[in-house]
Amino acid sequence: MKKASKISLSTRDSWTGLFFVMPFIIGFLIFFFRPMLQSLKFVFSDVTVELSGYHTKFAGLKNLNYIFKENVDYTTDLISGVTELFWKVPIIVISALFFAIILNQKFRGRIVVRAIFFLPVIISSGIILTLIQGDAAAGSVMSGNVAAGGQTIQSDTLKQVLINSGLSSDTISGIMIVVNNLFNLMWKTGIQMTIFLAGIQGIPVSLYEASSIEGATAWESFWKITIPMLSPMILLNIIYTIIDNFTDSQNAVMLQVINNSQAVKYGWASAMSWVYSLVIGATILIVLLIFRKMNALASDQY
Amino acid sequence: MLNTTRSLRIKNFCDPQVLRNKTVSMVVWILQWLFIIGLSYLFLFPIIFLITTSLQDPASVNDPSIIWIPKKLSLVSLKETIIILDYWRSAGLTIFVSVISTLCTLLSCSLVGYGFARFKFPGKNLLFMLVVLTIILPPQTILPSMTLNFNYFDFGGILSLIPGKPTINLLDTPFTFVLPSLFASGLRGGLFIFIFRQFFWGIPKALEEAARIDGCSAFNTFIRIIVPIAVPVFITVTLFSFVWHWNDLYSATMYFTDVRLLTPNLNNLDRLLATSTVDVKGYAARTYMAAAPLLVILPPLILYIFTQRYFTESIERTGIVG
Repeated sequence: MKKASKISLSTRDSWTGLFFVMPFIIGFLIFFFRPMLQSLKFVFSDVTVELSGYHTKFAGLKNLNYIFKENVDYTTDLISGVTELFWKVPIIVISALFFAIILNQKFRGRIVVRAIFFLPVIISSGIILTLIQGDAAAGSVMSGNVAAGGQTIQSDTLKQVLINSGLSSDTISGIMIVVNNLFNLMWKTGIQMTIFLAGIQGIPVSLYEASSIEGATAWESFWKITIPMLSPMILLNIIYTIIDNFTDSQNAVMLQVINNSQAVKYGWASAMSWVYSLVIGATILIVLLIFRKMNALASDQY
Repeated sequence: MLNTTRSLRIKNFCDPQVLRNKTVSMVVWILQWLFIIGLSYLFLFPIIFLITTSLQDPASVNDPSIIWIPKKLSLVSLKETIIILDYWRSAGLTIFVSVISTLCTLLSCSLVGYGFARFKFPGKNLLFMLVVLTIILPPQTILPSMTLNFNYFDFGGILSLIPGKPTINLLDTPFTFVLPSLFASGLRGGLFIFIFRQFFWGIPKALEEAARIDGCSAFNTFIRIIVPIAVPVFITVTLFSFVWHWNDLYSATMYFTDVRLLTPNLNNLDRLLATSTVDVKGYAARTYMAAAPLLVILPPLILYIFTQRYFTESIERTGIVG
């Protein structure tokens, strides 16, 4: 009797689950499935476009062969795209968390500051920044020089200081890459900051009250309450940052994909972007596995 | 009695521990504000640049003595850019498409996200892999096929069952954005499913279990218990979805050819300036190049400034509920 009711409960549960995800199943089948299969077919075909439409002829691994062996830039661009993530993702996610914590505090003028910090979310379009940077006067401030602390520092001066302080040239060039990208990096934190802010607002205040009664300092409650409670958001933001970097139209691989589709080289373009997607997929899978492992370790402690 | 309090206070004031705490909090306060001001400059710079440049008199735009404040204010560039961009028609269509698609996205993606966060069903992992696939596959890859799909739209083969194989052309209609949004497959739909799933995941299960035991159906539990707790997420997703629809370039360029949406127009600015009936003098192009982006970001900016208060307040209110 007891067993029977348990089974019916779990089947009912699975039907409810299917009901909730049904929109996605329908949407995927109607809007996504065929275009996806078609572009996958392009990877292994010669695509010729004529007035009557396009024709595909099976060509085996010819396109893949081209992008890896004949195209000089593709492999290099792909590798540099992945290695960039190692410094970009931590910088963006940690800054976003930091901004979110600052904005969450109660201080005078908070509403104005919040409105300003949301600007990158509202102007998240790449074209607007490209147009502004295209202007000579504005472009020099945003690329060559660093805008920090309300004044611009000539990046050459900074480089000189670093050389004088006796750092190795590798370290200096690493720092210079980060510094020269500071403007773009900070502008890319908007979405992540908003996600963190919503996450922080969702943490029950009672947890902090209880811990401060028990004598925890703000520092301790940050590490023991805020960070664990935010861990789903941290995962979400890491994955979002990876995807945002990969699908950015200024990205070297993405530029090749766009140029090839505009030149009606659909075979090459599809091959490039599918290989690219597989690489992103693998990167995300690794991140997910690391997080699962860390979560398992964390729950072992208690 | 009074004496002891006073001596205590004096003792407190001289206590090195208290003094140190005061200095530390002072230093933290200064650092925090330095940081806020620096970053505000970083974020405000492009906006200020756009405003001052677009308000300048086109004739004096390359005057090197003008750095920030225009000597002569002029609305010429803004007025002419409104004509060049076909601004009112274009903005109206963009607002319509963005608002309706955002509402549909909210409805469908929150349901799907809840389904993935809370229920066990066969094929769940496979389905979620498909969601991730829709996120990571660059939209540029499948856009040509998507456009063909909308040009001869048959609801995924359902219409082809009817003899005569009728198809509908959805291009140049808002349906190209609205229909996929209704089925959680709109612009960045996969990402919104993922965002909702992560948030619902973090909500303690106890509340829902109590409601379910009391005989509340799963759908009712979602509407009555989960949605009120998750208001910050809904607001966040609304903002993202609206802004991303607003700024979308690739699909908007492919789907709309007659009346253009705003962002594709911005991308074509060079061509529009060259072919426009308005007489644009070469030296003045800079003011137009600044006026156009300003006009494009203005509606979301105004919307945000007016809803900002509600936005922050509602976040705080739900913080207490949680």
